[in-house]
Amino acid sequence: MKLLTNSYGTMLQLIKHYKVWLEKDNYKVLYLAFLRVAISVWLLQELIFNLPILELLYSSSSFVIPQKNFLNWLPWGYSLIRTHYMWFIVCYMGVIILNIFGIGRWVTGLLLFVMTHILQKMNLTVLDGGDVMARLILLYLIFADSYQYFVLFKQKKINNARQKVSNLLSNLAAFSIMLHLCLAYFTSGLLKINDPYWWKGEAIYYTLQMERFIGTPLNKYIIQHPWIELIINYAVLAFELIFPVLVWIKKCRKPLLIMGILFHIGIFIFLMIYGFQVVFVLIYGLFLPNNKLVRLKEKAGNYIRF
Amino acid sequence: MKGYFYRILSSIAILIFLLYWTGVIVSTLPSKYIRNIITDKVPRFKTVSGFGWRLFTPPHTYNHRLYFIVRDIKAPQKSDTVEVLENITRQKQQKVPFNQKERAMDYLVQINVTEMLRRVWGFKQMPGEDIPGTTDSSYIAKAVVDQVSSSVYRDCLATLHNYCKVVLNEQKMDIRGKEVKIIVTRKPIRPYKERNNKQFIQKETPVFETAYQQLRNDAATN
Repeated sequence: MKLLTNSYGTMLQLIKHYKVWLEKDNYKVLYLAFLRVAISVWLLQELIFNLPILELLYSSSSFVIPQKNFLNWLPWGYSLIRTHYMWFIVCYMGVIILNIFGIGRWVTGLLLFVMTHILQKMNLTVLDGGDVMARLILLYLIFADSYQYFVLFKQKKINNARQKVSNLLSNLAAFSIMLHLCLAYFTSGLLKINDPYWWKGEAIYYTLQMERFIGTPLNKYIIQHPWIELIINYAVLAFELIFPVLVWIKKCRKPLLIMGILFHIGIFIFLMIYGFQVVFVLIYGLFLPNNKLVRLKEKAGNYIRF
Repeated sequence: MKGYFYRILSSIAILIFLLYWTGVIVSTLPSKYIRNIITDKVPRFKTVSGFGWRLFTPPHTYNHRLYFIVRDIKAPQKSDTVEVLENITRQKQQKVPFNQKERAMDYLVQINVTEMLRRVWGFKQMPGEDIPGTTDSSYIAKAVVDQVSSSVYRDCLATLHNYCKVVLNEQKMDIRGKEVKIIVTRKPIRPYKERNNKQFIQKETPVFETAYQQLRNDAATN
């Protein structure tokens, strides 16, 4: 009983300690702002690239029968959005642009998250991990103060108590995005070590021969050389299990981030999965210290400052 | 008063953060028991917090083929066969990296095929050469019967029927008075151990088949 009370007390003290630390400063202030802009630009780019096929993806005249989801609960909403999908897209683009310039702050962030969620629900079949991760980033960014940089209008000074809460929420949001990245890798790594194909080193052989993911003629070259497959197979396995644990240690961070970038470039080129890689690599910046990023920004010059 | 409010708000934020992350970790990690409790009690939680990050686990050991077999109702002895998935894949590869349309088409058709097969077969053994006492067609028909009432199955099938009309329109084929049969097959990738065996035959196995159904001109053709 005494042991239980003691550990409860220690845990409370620990939470109190971290609460003070989290309230002290917004430790990812620059990169959170960059991430807000980058994710918004990525969403806009996806939308623009998909302009010729928007009718196929979202209109009521598409050949795709949409799966049932929460939108069907709305007595009028779903069919209305699908019938007038172009209006929805135009509004969505408007909200993305507002978010890029930080106009409307968290209200715009919330609106963007809701609209992204609706758009994704309108056609679930074309989503990949990148779309899901982008939606999660938007969710966490609602709570973060990502408006200290890259905004059209500077924020007014707020009182100390409110600033503390804002810092705490921003840090928890940044931490959540980083945790989600680690969770994605770790879950995938755990599934892989329990999978006989990955365990025996045969998975890359099969993956590179899945016709819909053959991105280059080099895929066929690689499967003719078992030693390349084996190295990639076990490197992927090790990376997904090691990254979430060691990325928090300063000394290991840089090599792991470089490995991660190579890993995602590989998937981008060889497997033709694009958005997923961009979103995942964008998160990497959160692992870099704010002061280094500020110095980098200053070096890059004044032209990126709004 | 305001200071006290913000202090309380910080504590509530930390509490929600801890509870949320406990839920996310438990519902994402591959431990079925607790994950099922959470997803049963709060099914919406999974939708908000993410999904299972599998990243090619397990890798597919086969490729699908989707066939539309079209024939005239009045002259059923003659039929045309169109395979679509291989064609979509080829176009997707040709237009790399500006293949948005082909990629979207690939996802739209493949996901419906995969979901339909998942519904029909679930944990049942798929047809193959080693199922004695039945033909592939009768074995498939038996499995399909269980899913006829499922709305997901019906939606997937209706999507494929609509897509068939799109394909036939593209090929300038008149769909009036035509009926179509949909067949999905699996073509195995040469097994790892047989990788150097040039004699290995990648034999296609039918895993889904419908009866002939009349094509109607009323639904979407985009």
